[in-house]
Amino acid sequence: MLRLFFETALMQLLRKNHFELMALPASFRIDLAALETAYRELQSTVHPDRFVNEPPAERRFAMQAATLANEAWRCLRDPVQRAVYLLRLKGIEVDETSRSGFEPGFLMQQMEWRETLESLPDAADPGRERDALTLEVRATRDDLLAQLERLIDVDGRHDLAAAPVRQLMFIERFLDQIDAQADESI
Amino acid sequence: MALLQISEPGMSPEPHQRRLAVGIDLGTTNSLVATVRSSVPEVIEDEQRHALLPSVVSYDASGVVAVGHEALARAVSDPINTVVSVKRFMGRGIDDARRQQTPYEFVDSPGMVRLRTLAGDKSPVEVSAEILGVLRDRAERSLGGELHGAVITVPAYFDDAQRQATKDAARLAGIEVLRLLNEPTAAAIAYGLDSGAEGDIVIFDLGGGTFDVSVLRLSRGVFEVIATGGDSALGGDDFDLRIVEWALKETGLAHTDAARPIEAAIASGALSAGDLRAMLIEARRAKEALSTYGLANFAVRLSGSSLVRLPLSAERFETMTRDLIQRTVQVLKRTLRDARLAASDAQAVVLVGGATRMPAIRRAVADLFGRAPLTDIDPDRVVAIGAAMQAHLLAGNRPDGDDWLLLDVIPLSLGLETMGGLVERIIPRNSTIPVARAQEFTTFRDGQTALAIHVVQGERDLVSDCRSLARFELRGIPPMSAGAARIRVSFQVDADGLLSVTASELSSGVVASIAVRPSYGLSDDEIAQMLQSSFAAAGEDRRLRALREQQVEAQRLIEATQAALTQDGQLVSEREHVEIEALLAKTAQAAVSDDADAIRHAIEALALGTESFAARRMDQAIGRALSGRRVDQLGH
Repeated sequence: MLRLFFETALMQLLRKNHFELMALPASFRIDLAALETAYRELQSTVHPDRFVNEPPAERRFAMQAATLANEAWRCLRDPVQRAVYLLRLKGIEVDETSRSGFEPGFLMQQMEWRETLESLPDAADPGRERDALTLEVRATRDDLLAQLERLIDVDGRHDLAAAPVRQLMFIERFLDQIDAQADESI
Repeated sequence: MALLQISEPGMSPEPHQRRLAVGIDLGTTNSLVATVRSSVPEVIEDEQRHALLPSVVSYDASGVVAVGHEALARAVSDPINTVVSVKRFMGRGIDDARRQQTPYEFVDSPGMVRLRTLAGDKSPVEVSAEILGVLRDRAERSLGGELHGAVITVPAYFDDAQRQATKDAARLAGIEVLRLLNEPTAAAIAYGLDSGAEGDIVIFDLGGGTFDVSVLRLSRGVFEVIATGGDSALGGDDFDLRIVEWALKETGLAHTDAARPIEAAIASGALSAGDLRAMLIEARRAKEALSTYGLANFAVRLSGSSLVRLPLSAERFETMTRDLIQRTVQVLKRTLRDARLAASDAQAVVLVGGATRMPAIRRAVADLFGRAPLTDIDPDRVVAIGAAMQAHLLAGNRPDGDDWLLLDVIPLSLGLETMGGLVERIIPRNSTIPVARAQEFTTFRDGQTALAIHVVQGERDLVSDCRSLARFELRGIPPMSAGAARIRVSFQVDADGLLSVTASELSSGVVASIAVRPSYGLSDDEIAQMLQSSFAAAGEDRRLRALREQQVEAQRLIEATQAALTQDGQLVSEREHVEIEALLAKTAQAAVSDDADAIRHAIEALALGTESFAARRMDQAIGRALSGRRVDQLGH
């Protein structure tokens, strides 16, 4: 029976969504400094290091609470993950693998970028061209992020936000690939 | 109680309750133990005023074990039975061990490689436990009492198997591990608390056998590790090996074209195991001389009584080790990228580990950051000092106002093997711990009733390139058509960086789980057996010690629970209060008996009986933390 009480208390904590846990309004644009402060305060309270000399039950609980805090922080500080989470709260699942909804223009752009990346190692000055490519991709990312902010925070059109989110997922992966290629060439 | 300490100032433990806690740097070359005494961290020296204990263990046929300086003195005369740099074998199999050029005779064994000595086959865990035991004795003598526990440092880049092996060694040495702490993080704590620095700092830690880079953000008492990188098989030892290889070729003891000159020289009989150890010791001395004087003489008398004598210039040394330096720079760059930190934005770069005394390392780091690294802290001691500070905190000795928190990360990604020998990453590297992540999988055959789960660690895409941590099976899946089962696999990494995995089929509720005792780890039986054999003589002492530990634990739990009831009594119903009081009385009764099992059972019952109370206190504490924030901090 006691076991059940314990589970109930934990469930109450788990029921808080990431925004509630960090005491932030559920919007796409967030105050990152406030997130950092909330995260640090929360961890200062629940981190397992605060419970090393406590009974096992409290230690376990601390680990679960700290895990939750880490998860919420990881999700909210990243704009793409934050958008995915906001859409999920509205019942919209973003399917990362689906290509539907990619505008032909974005598909073309995507192919061009890939070709540029593949030809980079043979370029006259790979480092410089890699930086140029990175800047171009990042500019597109910033446009998409601005678009998301408008759709979610201003227009409330979460339904239209899934497409730009998927494009951003592609861009993040592509930026990682650029980094990975740079690593190999060190 | 921790919650009291957080919410109410002035509740730090009374001096008589102070728990003896130490930090231990279990190094490849040297080990140290440090503690915080009257708020001042200090390294504990032995009776001869040595702070550094050489991490060397020597066995003889009579079963006498020498550790430290005494053992090091035997390294040349008895190289096979004198184990040097045992850390390089921790959590490693025979293939990994053989790849390193050492004189030892390895024995394959399930779990971890063993080393054949006159005193029998020794696991690296047992060898490390000898070193830890000497440090424990040193600390207990100096502090005048039994240790409450220790924080033991490990390279940040140690994988799960290596961490588990370190924990096992501590258990074997009778040390309660408060926490495994990453070495660069320990250095950052020592540096950060000492200097009061804020901002992003980079720790460059090149030890005897391992290399780590960590980027940390220091801000208002929180040490947050942003990224960690490294190479757990690169260290000062590799630079020594290069000198030996060079000397063998220069003297004609090995052919100038030999790919592995040491093995070639041993195979041809030109070099004995003792000669190799003598040359390695001389190489280290020459390397250190180069750092100070820029020029060294490499001189060794071999067992055939021929004398090897070669002048070695700094330029020559740097040429032969350039690729090693290059490897450290590469890791450094990648870690900065993981941290999304530009070299110019780092507040400070701190060098840790004896091998960072090499001028070429200092130059390479200075070149990358455009400024000289900080070298004013003793690179040999800073890790033990940081560990002692963390131990002080974890033991509950922290005074008011001296409050800080560490948020560390896992160094290597954790994943599962999927179809085709590919790795599906579940928790990416540099995730802040504790962390949990789950992913759903399905069956690929009709009527499949079991699923094999293979847990791996590493950054590569192929399972064969990663380290295997554990294998287990989820059985009893009800037969369904392929792709219909929904199997959720959950990973949980605790604050020590150790992993447990659970798999469950969601429609039927079938569950299988494993606390990852990696393929390289020791089973509880093995540990028990080792404990028994090593302490057979002192068996009665051990039993009494275990009993006393249980008694202390019971007393501690009783006091903690009573304090919690006084503070937060309103959180329990009258009936719960009565139940808890009954459990307290039972525990108190058991605590005065001499039956360790009975005490343990009472402790467990009390812990279980106060779980819900604990949960409510936690919830209340979280509520306080959140509602305590000012309104202007709630977003924009």
